[in-house]
Formats: sequence, C-alpha cells, structure tokens
Amino acid sequence: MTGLLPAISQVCTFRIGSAYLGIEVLDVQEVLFRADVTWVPRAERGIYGLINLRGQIATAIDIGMCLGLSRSGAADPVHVVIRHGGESVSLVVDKIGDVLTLDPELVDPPPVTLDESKRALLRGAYQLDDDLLLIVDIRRVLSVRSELLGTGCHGAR
Amino acid sequence: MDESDGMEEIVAEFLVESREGLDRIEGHLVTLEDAPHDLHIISEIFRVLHTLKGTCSYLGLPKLESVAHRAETVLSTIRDSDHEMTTEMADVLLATMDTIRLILESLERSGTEGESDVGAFIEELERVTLATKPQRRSTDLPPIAAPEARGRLGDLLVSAGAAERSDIERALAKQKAGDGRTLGDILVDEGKTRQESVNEAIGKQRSEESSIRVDVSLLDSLMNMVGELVLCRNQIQRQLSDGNASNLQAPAQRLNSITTELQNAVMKTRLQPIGRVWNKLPRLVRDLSRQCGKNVRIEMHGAETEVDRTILEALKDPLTHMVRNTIGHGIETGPERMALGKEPEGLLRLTASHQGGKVQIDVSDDGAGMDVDKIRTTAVERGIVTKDEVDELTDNEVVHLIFAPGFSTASSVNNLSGRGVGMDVVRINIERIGGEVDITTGRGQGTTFTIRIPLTLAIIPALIVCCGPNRYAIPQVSLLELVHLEPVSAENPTEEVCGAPVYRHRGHLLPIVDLRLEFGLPPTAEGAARQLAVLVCDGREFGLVIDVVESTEEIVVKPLGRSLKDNQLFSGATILGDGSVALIIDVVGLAVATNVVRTSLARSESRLKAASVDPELTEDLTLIVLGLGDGARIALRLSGVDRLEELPVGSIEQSRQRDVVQYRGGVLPIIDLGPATGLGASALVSGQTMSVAVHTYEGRSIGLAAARFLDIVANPSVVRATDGTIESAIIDGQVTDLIDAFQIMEASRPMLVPVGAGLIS
Repeated sequence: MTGLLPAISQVCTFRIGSAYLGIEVLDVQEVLFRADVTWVPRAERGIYGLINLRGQIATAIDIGMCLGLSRSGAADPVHVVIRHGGESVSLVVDKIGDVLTLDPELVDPPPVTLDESKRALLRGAYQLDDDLLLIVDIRRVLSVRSELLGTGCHGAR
Repeated sequence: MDESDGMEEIVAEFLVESREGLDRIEGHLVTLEDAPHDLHIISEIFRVLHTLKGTCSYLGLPKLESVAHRAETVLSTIRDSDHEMTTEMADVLLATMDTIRLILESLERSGTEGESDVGAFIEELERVTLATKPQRRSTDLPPIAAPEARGRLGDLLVSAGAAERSDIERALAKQKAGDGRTLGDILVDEGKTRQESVNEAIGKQRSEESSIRVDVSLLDSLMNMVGELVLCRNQIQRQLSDGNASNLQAPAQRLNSITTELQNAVMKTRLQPIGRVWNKLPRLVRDLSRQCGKNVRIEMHGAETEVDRTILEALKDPLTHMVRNTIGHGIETGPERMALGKEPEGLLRLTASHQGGKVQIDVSDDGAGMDVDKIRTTAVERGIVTKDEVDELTDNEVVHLIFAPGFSTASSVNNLSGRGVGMDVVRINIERIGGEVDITTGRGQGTTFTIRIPLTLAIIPALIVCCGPNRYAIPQVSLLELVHLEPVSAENPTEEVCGAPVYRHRGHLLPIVDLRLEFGLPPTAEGAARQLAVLVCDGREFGLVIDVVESTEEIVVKPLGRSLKDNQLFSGATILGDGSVALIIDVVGLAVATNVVRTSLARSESRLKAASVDPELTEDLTLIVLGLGDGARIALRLSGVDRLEELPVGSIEQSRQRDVVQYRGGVLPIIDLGPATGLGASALVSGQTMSVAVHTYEGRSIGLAAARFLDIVANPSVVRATDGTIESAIIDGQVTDLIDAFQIMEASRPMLVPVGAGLIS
C-alpha cells in the first residue's frame, strides 16, 4: 500500500477548482496571498511562472495541471510555498484552507480505479463529513512532473 | 567575556591568519625555485614566518615557534648569501609548511600543539642551513622591512621620514588645545611636512583598514535580512501606488534606492576571486610532477575573476582532481615529450573568465590527449556501455564516458589517480552547483576541460529590455549595438530571404530573430517602433528584435529552479530594482535554438576532429517520406528501414493488447506512427492499406505503420535541433519532421516486450 503514511498528522489544505487537497503541513514554508508572477516563455506546461521570494527566485508550479484539475480561474491565486530539494517552489492554488489534524483511522488509500499515474501522486483520501480531502504526495508530484507533462520546448519550432 | 574566551578568539584568528599566510608562502616558494634571486619574494616569506613566530611566542607555542624559527634561518641563509634556493631547500621548506599546518590542525582540534615530534625535522632544517653556510655577507641588500607602524597618521609620517616626532607631538597638543584643523593641515600649514606626504600617509592608513574579517554566517544572515527588506519595500511601494499618501512618495523613493544599493552591496560581499582556490595548485603541481618524474609548469590567467563563495568551495575538489589527472595521465614524461618534438616541460594552464553570463574555467594541458580507442575498450570492459552501444557513439561522446561512475583508464593504480573514483565525482560536484563540464581533446595535442558555472550570484552588467508583458535581461558581453527600427517602413522594417528575416546592417545582411515570435507572443500593434539588439554568439552576429530598451543595470544572477533547468533560452533570472523578476536571456541558447549557430556539441566535435569530418554532416542522408492519416507528412531515415510493405489494415490482429500482423511466418508488432509521434491522426484507417516500414529493434522486427508511402528523397536540406541532430528536412518546399525510429520503438518498448513474453521475429 503506497498511500497510507502514518507520519502525517497535520495537513495544510487548499482548493483547486472544486477539489479539496492537502499536503503535509511540515512541508509548507509559507503562504503568499499576493505575488507578482513573471511568465516564462516556452516553459513546460505546468510551470506557472517565477516569483520573487525575498530576493530568491522561486518557480511557481500549476499543481492543478499536474494532477489534471482545472483551477477556478480566480484572478489572484494563492501561492503555497514549500521547500523541495533545497529550493523553494510555489504551488499555485485557488484558495487556502485550514490546517487539519487527521485521524489516521479515516485515511484510505486512493481508489484503485484511479488512473495509476495519478494514483501514484496521492498518499491517500481522507473522509470528511461533507467532502473528501485528497492528500498529495508533493515530492512525487514535483519529481515526476516533467515526465508526466513532457517538455513543451520541443516541437515549438 | 571572561579571559579564556578572549584567548580562544585570538587563537582562532591566529589560525585563520596563519593558514592564509601559509597558502601565500607555498605559492612563493614554488615561484622562488624558478627565480631563486627574487629578494622581494624572500622578504615576503620572511615576513609571514616572522609574524607567525612572534604570535607563537605570545601564545606560548614553543614547538611551532622553533619550527618557524629554523625555517626563517634557512631563508636568511639564502637571502644573505649568494646561494640559490635549491630543490632540496624548497623541499624542506615546503615540508616545514606541512608540519606547521599539522600543528595548527592539532591546535584547532585539541588546543595543544599535539604529540608530533618535530625534533628530527628541526635537525633536518639545521643540516640544510649548515650546508649552505653564508659565503659572503652582502651589505647592500635591503633590510627586511620592520613591521610598519600601523594606524596612526603621525606614526606613518614619522616612519616614512616625512615629519619629526616632536613636530607631530606639538601639533597634537595644539589640536587638544582646541585647534579645529586636522593633524595633516596643522603640519602642512606650519611647513613641517608636505601635503603629498600627508596624502600618501592617509592613503596608507586607509588601505590598512580597507578590509576586515567577517564571519560568513553573518553575511548569510545579512543577505536574508536584505531579502526581507526588499520584500517589505515592495509592499510599501505597492500600497503607495494604490493609495494617496503622496507625502510618503519621496521617502519611499529613497527607501527604494537605498534598499537596492544595500542588496547589491551585501551580495557583492560574497564574491571572492577564484585565485583563492588556485593558490594551492602550484604546490600541488610541483609535488605531483616530481612524484611522477615529470616536469610541469603551471600558468594561471584570470585569477581575479570573482565567483560566489559557495561556488568557490565546491570547485576546490574538482579542480584539484583535474590537476591530479592531468599530471598523472595527461602530460607525458620529459623524454616522451622530447621524442614527440615538444618542449620537455609540460604546461598546465588555468584560465578563468566571465563568458556570456557564465564563469568559464579552462584547465588545459599540452600533453598526450585522450586515447579514444582505449576509452572505448575500457568502457566496454567496465560494463559502462555495451559493445554495440559504444560503436554508435561519436568520439566526442566516447570521451565523455570518462565521467561515468567507475571509469578509470589508469593501467596501474597509483596514488595519483586511477582509484576508480574520479572524473564522475568531478562531474557530480560541478553539476551540483549547476555547472557543466566539457572536454576537448586531440591525440598528442593535449586536453582541455572546460567548466562552465552559471554565474550564480555573479554580478553582470546587462541590458534590460521589454518584450510583451515581461522584462528580460541580456548580458552586455553579447551585445554589440542597438538599432532603432523605424515604424515608417510598415510593420516590418526587415526583409526576407526565402522566409528568413534579415536586416541590412552596415552593408551586411544580419539574420533576425524576433523575440515576440520566439516567445510565442502576438505581434505588436502596427506602426510601433521597435528595437534591434545586435548580439554576437560564437563570433556570429545576429539581430534580436525587442519592443523597448529600458536601461542598463548591474544585475545579480540567480539560478532557475530545477524544473526550469532544461530550459535553454534562459541562463537564470534576476530581480530588478522594483522587485519584479526578469529572466536572463541565454544568448548562446537562443542562437542555438534559432539555428543562428550550431550546437556547442557539434562545434567541439568539429574542433575535436579537425581532419576528419562530422559524420552527421557528410552522411548520405536518404529519407523515406510517409503520409499519416490526416495528410501530415513525416520522414524516416531509409538506412534504418529493412523492408517496406503495403499491408491491408484489416490484417491487424490483437495479441496481448497490441497490434500485430502475421508476417513471413511470424508475428510483426505494429506501431501506429500517428499517435506514436503525435504528429498526425492514426495511420490505420479500416478498409484501406497501410505502409509498414519494417525496422529491427533488439534483434526483432517491428513495423512502423503510416497511411501511405509518398517518396524517397536523397540529401534534402535539413534543420538541426539544439543537440545537433537533424530535426526536420525540407521536402518539396515543405518542412517535414524527421522521426527517429529508434526513439519511437524505445518509447513503445513496454508494449513490444510484454512481461514474460518475447517477440517472435
């Protein structure tokens, strides 16, 4: 079983479109409600742009696109900044939610019927009263992102 | 602070200073071997040893003191006599430095001088001293300069002989009595000294105080704080531009400029000349070359090139290793070199420079060069590549195999190199800091390792330009001039040669690249004036059309995140004065991407084999042109096709969820080129025939299916991709994508080779 990791107890939640997602709270460095994004020409799909994070340049990733979710298209997305492999990466989401403490009993592996490529990116699904919270394996997402999407640079000319 | 703390601090400072001194001495000693009479160098070494000795006695380190003292005696023997510094002396002196280092290490670890016995060593030093008894006391030699009076202007003037102490004391008394003039002015006004002497002394005073030691972690935290300040400044500016607090505009402006300056200044504190790492190399070269019985000279150029501190640290090991390798393997012994008609002395040259927005370090030698055939054999022996694979590789690619883990061509394992760890570690270390390493080699002509490090944090002058919504930075090194494109000549002031835009520039046709087109932006409104930046890459000029030139700025280059590492159009990004991010255009990458120049790989290839020719260029390129379902055309290399068959689409059967046809008594897996290439619709239209190009993959036959066979073309004009491979060809005036059949089959491998089932060929 790949999904269940007892280590997670608290997740930082956010919404992309109608989907309710969470990542381990310890991965989160900070949340920015406003950031000027510089668009990167000819970048891969899934690269949202670059932001200035206190003098360092962080890549903003459209995590929704990586997971096959579409954002609501709200004007100012929220940047959830995480540390990944020594660099800061920002995940672009629609809305930031609460930090939830999870009951490990209620975490289930992602449904087996889910497409394997997506299933691998999720650590589990958590049952809330009125919703399902998908716990994203953010390391997985970032490491396989390029393979999933292919490079947009090729064939451009 | 209690007393022991103070002592610890003094010891720590002593350690740092002594080590720096030792680094300097070692370089000097090696130089001294070649120029044994250079009194200036001897004095310099003397001074360092003298300071060391002095501090030792103050700190109570008798062992260190006696070693330093004996070394000093050897040096004074050289200085005071006609003796030249012999190799033996140099050996002993260098060994002295090692001993001192050992003691310093032990001092750092345990706070004591350690248990090592220096008695025998001191005897050795004395023996050398005796052997070079002074023959003639020379009187005309300059005395070793006494440690100069530090700091105070008056002392400096006295020691320079420009003023009398009594005059200065009188002047100081006047100052105390309420004279508002400076000390220098009083002395000059009273005619006790000349204005020039005062200026000179003040200059000296400044230079003595112009550098201090700062803990690196302090710099790091300063940097972080400046980052926060920048963010805060940005927020204030944003608030101001939205709101109406007009009385805050002026202070905000000042805050802006001060913050920017502060940010730049703090970043500059982290830069250090690369010479700091190179300092240790002359000694290394000397020792190693003697160990291998070779004669090697080291030359260093561009030691002042500034590199970020972290990069400097990371470069230390790779550079050392490369130098070891060069001396161990690269450079031949004296007799071998003579036999080849070379100078007996080998040359190792290190060059550093800022190149196209990167720091480039070349480590080159004039030695034997690499034996490509030997590398081929070894790589196969070590199981790094298979025999078949190695035959496919170009010489340049083969040379790069030395960076593979576990590779070592040394026939015998010695303590120099050839321990099986080596070049792979070099490569990893350099890649870790975002750099790359390249090799140029020719048999008998030596080898050049080219290390390119992105100028992480290096500061470069750049032109800030606008194009579309963003601003971009173009490194000034690549910029030749700017041309204003008048809007009067319609929307397109350029002309075209067969569809390729050019601009008439000083009587030459300049190829044009429109940044808007490159970046996939819509064209500007008609009638808008645009700018043309004339750039140079690899000696070739081309024009880059941009919207607006904004300014020139010194920018601090920041690396791009891992997800953008593959992007070849940008070498990094920078943060502009207003806090926004601007991408730095990689002029070389852009030129390659737009076919202004061919790739560096291809270039080094042609350099590598000046006599023989690039096989890709001269190969007899015959393409088979196929049509996909919706009329899209693709081309395959005819050389890879075994047979071409027309088969009815209806003959396709399903086996283990893959398409196969029965073919020559076996089963032939079919790959539909439409979806497999993503360039067109499915080639398999039921009720029709398909054209199947039969290829061999891992010893089995595979059919690549297209809707129809169109043509066979010999030697068409081709368009090359960034890695030098042919990407597409122009056939019947149409650009047709060239498909790499091998890649397609490789990509379909899971389908072709299901678990537990082999293919039938």
